[in-house]
Amino acid sequence: MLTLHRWFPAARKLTLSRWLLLACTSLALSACGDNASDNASKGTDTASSNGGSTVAATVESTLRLALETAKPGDVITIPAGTHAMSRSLILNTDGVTIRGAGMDQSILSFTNQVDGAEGLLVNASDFLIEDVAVEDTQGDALKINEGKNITIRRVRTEWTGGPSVDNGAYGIYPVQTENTLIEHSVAIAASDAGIYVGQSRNIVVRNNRVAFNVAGIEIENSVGADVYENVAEDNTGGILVFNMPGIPMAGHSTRVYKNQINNNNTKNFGAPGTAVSGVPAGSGIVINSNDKVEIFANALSNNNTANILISSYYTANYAGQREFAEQFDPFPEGIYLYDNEYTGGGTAPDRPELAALVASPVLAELGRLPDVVWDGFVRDNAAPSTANICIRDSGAVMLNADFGNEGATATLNTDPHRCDLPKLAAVQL
Amino acid sequence: MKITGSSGPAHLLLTASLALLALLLGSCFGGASSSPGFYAPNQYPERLSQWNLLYKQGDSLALGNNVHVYDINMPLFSDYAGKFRTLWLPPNTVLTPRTDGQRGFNYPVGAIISKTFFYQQASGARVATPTTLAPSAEKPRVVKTSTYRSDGGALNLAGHLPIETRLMVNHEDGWHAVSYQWRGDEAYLAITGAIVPLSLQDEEFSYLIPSRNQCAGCHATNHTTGKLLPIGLHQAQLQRVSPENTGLAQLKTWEQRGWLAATAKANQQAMPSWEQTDATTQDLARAYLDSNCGHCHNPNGPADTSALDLSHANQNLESLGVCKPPIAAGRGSGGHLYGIVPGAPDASILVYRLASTSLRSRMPEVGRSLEHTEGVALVSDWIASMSGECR
Repeated sequence: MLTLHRWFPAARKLTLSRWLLLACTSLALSACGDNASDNASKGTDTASSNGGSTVAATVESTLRLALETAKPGDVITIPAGTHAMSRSLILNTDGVTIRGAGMDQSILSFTNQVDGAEGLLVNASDFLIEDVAVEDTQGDALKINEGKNITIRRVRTEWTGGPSVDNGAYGIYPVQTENTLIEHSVAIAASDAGIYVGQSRNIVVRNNRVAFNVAGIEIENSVGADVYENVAEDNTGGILVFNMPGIPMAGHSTRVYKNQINNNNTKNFGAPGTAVSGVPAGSGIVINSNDKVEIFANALSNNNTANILISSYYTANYAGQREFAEQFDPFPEGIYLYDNEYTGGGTAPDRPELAALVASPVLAELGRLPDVVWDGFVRDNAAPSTANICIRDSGAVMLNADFGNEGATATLNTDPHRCDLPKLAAVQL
Repeated sequence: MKITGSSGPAHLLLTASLALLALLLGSCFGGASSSPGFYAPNQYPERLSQWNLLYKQGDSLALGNNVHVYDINMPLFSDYAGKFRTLWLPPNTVLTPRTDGQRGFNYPVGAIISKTFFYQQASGARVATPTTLAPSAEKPRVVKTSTYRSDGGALNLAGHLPIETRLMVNHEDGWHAVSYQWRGDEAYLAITGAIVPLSLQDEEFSYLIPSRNQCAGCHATNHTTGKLLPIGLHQAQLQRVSPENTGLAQLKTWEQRGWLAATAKANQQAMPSWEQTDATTQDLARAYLDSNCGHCHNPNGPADTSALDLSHANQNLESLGVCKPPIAAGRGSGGHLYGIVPGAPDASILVYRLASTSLRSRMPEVGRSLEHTEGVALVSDWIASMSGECR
């Protein structure tokens, strides 16, 4: 049942005409029962508050009214069933919980969406959503724009037709948030990132599964993120830690650990011009222009460009070098890798310049790209050893691709990078 | 009828009774002799006429006592709808200019702004405003009406199809916004908004009546506070001839009406109006972007996540989009690399998104489903006139 926990005690405040309407609405919902999906799919989207109209309430209209009239403390539950949504759902009230019957049971389907840039847009703090699926939105599936204390648990966002450039950009998309927990969720087939956390502080992303997205998980321009015990498989790139220019907030301090990052070889289906459209298929972890990134105890296998790519902004956008303001730091610095396990990978680089390196003398013996590939750009042409990239993975070798000189002096010498950096503190939510 | 703002328990029964009475008596209370009422935010009446602000009288949308029409220079594009704007202030109250560096005014509690969206019907297509919510087989056929300018009096509805009337009401805790959907001779409260299928010059589209939260999507121009504010009611937009065309400037009329102290008139330069022929392309384009994009794309707006600032005050080329890569545009990039490529409108994301009608790409995200070809042409001309290149 889609129940409105606040409504019943508060109904006295409504005018009598709406009292009657509410009673009708409740009845209509009770009648939904097991046929909830039938009702929802038949219903046109009509506001049930409209002038005492007798149009039967659908899950969509009732859910929309609950969100539009929400008060702090409301718990809005979504019944099991596939519920057709014709327009974006919007919540602007702090302190609301949305709860479904399970991420494979309570499904909000936007296949026939005619309005709105998101599935569910939340402009609020102290928000919890759990056990719900958001499917086939035209744009982003679940966007949280500016809020504190956000919990997303057992939520599935999916484009059910599989990878396509026509899919929406982001699955789970908190931006400008503080204290955000995303756990036990699933994100599939986003044309940008399955789970994208942007311009945020204090983030925990754990125990999620991301598959068939361009980017599985992306942490961008954010400070303080722990990304752990996730499974990233069959994306173009598994886990990305990026900084983009033009944003006041520069990201740093992300820990990526104990994740399983396998077979991220799906052809890049991102829209040209987007940052992720430059990610080569076959990327396990990509660090771009971000600082203080600690990567440890991950299991990476069969990511066929490279299991780990470390790059500057100069290399990130293969579509062409772009201008950026002077205050932007394009270099990845303070990168620390240890205790990761690597299996396979590097056998089919998705960039001509990387493939050319495999054929060059420097990689002749290895016959593939090594586990870690760095584009080699350093600040003011400083020596590579000062770039602050430290690798303690036993046996892992890093290629300095020397892209600043078109690979002219690419080297496999990892020794200058056998160093240690201070470990980052765990994120406290 | 007037219900005061108190929502204390002792008033509940009375309030409910009065609301019921109003419902039963319908428009009997809505008459030219009444002044607009005031309702607590959770007690807005079901019928627009209950506000005594606007009501249908024959073929006219008539004005309540001391409700006045106003107009602005550069309107927001809303799928070619015509707009009929009114402002009402409680007796003996005035507007004072904001002193926090922002445009616009401080309003007395009880102030009500209305905007009625309507279309001229296509010739021979005199389909009446639908009286039910059931989707009709024939979509009302309408024509472009966005060049409508009020003459200061009632809105003549002959040959016109009113769609919705949006209200903004200033309460003790700030502005609240909601829309009323027209059906027959009355408009009804539409908290959750609605989709109205229309056919404009044979192009079918979904006209959106915004939900309450969608109102906030534009009117919470500071997304951090989430407080709603009027958008177009500021001096640069209002400095134009009075709708009544008395030869007076609009703000002078407001002063004579007692709405504005003479000293309160701002010296702010007027924005060019959409029809103005002697304005430069740049001035017109910047005013257009301010009206259509600046409510979100400003330094504190909901679209500050994109780091694109299209508000009138912005003088920084990069944040204006020049050679600026997108942040999270997704498909909205249209395959282009930069917001604005000088001299190359067709390679600019800004033009692509203004021209797009797809949900995932179009801008603005809310309230537009048709391309505003004239607006796209204006912005394109502006970008074409820019020199420089993105390296």
